[in-house]
Amino acid sequence: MATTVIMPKLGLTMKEGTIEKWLKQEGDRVEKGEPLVEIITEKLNFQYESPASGILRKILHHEGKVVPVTTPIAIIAEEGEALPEFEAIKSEVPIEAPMPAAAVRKEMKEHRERIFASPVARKIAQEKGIDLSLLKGSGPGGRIIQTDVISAVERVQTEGARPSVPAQKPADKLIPLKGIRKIIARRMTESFRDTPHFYLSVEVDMSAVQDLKERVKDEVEKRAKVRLTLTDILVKVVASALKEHPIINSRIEGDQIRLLEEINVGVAIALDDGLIVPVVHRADQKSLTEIASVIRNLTRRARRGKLTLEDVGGGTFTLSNMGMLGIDKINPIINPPECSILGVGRTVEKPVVQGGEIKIKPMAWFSLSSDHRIVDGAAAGLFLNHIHKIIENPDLLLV
Amino acid sequence: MTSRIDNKRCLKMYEQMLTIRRFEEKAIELFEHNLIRGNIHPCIGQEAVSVGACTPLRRDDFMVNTHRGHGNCIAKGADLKRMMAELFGKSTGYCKGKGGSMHIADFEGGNLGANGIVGGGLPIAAGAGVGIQNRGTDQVAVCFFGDGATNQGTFHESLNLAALWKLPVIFVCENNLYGLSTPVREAVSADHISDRAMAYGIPGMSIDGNDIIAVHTKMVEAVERARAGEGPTLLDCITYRFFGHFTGDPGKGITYRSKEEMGQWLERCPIKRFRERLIKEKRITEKMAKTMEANVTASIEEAVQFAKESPLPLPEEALQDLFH
Repeated sequence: MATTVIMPKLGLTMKEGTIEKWLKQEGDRVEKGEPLVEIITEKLNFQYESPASGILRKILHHEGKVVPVTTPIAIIAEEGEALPEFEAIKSEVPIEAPMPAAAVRKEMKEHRERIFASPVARKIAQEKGIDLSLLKGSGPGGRIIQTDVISAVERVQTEGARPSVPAQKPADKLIPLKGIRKIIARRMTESFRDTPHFYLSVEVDMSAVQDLKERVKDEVEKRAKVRLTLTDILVKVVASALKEHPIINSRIEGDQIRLLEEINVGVAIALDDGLIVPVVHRADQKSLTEIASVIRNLTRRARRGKLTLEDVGGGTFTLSNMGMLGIDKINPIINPPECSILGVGRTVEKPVVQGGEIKIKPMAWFSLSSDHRIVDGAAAGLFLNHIHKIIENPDLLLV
Repeated sequence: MTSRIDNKRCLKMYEQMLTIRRFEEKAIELFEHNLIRGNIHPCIGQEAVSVGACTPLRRDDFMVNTHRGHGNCIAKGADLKRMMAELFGKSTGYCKGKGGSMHIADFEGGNLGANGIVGGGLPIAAGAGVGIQNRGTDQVAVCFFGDGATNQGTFHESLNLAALWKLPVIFVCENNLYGLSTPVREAVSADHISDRAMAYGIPGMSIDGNDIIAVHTKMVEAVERARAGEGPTLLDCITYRFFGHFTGDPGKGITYRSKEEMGQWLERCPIKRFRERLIKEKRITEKMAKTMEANVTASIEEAVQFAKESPLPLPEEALQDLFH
């Protein structure tokens, strides 16, 4: 008899699992109890054993896919045995069969915000028929306390009416956190919560790099058939500065700081469904032409969703250029496990005082966020100043 | 060695061990399918202790269980349908679906219930012993607990009182070598848990908990002693849980137990060993064993069907049947 393998519930709170690796391929023979698939849950990494013996006839969900528990993921059957239709299997295994009451409770939970109120306030409200959702709490953090309910009771008694009911709220749209959004949510929360960030900013004169761009862009275009952008130059500058400041090109590992040999600069790219950071590997060893060509290639593939794990892995530093979005200044969140991230704003012509004279210069804000566990303000400041110096005098790249 | 136990009883013991194994495997499968909501602590690998210790008991003897208690329930004669229904949280379960896997009690069958608290059952068993003594019957109370429980105050208090008052209690330690992930050698000061019996002047012995005949033999002696009013015994049954601590323990406990160790214990599977012994002693044939296995599987399926078809308890019954 064909056996439908499901995404097993492997722990009390498990809702979904990621298929990390199929340990058998379609057509392979598998024995009951033999490791079949590696599953990653929020908490753990499991080798799930085959629930039956037979041929792994069909894999329904491939590696990397996240599926809810009890979703069919494969079919094991004997050679030549008829396989159940996938749709048929779907209806055969109940994904979730809550009792009606439970379903109602779930609905209620989703649609009603939690009301913070003390137990005694709740008790009085229930006795007196006061709707707690209509009250404003005066306790800590807006918690509804006894006196709030009592005064509401008094109001009802004196006014002879219940507190007015606000007009029905329009239904809010709910977007589930999933896919890339969910990963960003998790990683950024971890980074912001676990990494002590500090931020340094400096306003930089961009005229020299603008000149440089004008002077070399045709040559780059001729060689690599791509148009040189400011981002490409920034990657080159950052890579060069990282070489001089190895402490920034590092990550924290338990009780140690690992100084990384490779300088791999990630470039933040905004996609429709979220942010992705493809990496220019060994950026310090690449020419401007090579960097431009790599970045264009990565961007193109990112937009098509064709980036590989290699393209987004191994970054040692991230650059986030928000100039094209018209932003003056950003304080980016560190892309873990990296030490720092550089945020660059738009270039704007501004009056600048130089040698007692007011001059009009193209200026841009450079902001560096760093992990205070690894570096202090001085070290990060030296690094940012180094970038500042190169941007205002890009000839230093040759030195 | 089995010769002293009659054929019928031997086969019954084998069938019970098999029933426990299949019941646990099914329960894990149902949990993975999200049909059983609560966590399950399977006793796969420990069947010889459950069956060996419960076989010498009468229906009116008492048994106090642990969170890893399905095997002891079955060995004490529980109905599979009502057990499975309890796991499903259905109203036809032993506790009307309100106890779940860890709290199956059946007072009529002498099962005083299980406990999620480590060592929580020991004083209850001692109390049952006091009750027996007061009534003047020849019943006994058996208390199951894990190796971790022997470090709790309740263990020492209960053994002390039971010894002092010569209560008819048999303390059966299901020593599976780990208190969740803590190895017994890193947690227990004595070389053997049975050494602790010395402190209370009662007999204590450590036995191979994967040898059902060894467990049964010592248990028969302990029950005889208790019925004769000579007081309690401590049995340290050394065994191993093949599955891990609970549904959710990665790789069946591979994070704290080595593959080699787990492999060695799998070789000492109590069911396999007993089956080989029964075949060698010509008490069972391969064919008989196959038929028995098919019957066991069918009875478990029947229990699952019963549980699935049973109604859920009503919300308004939530506060009924509580201990006060």
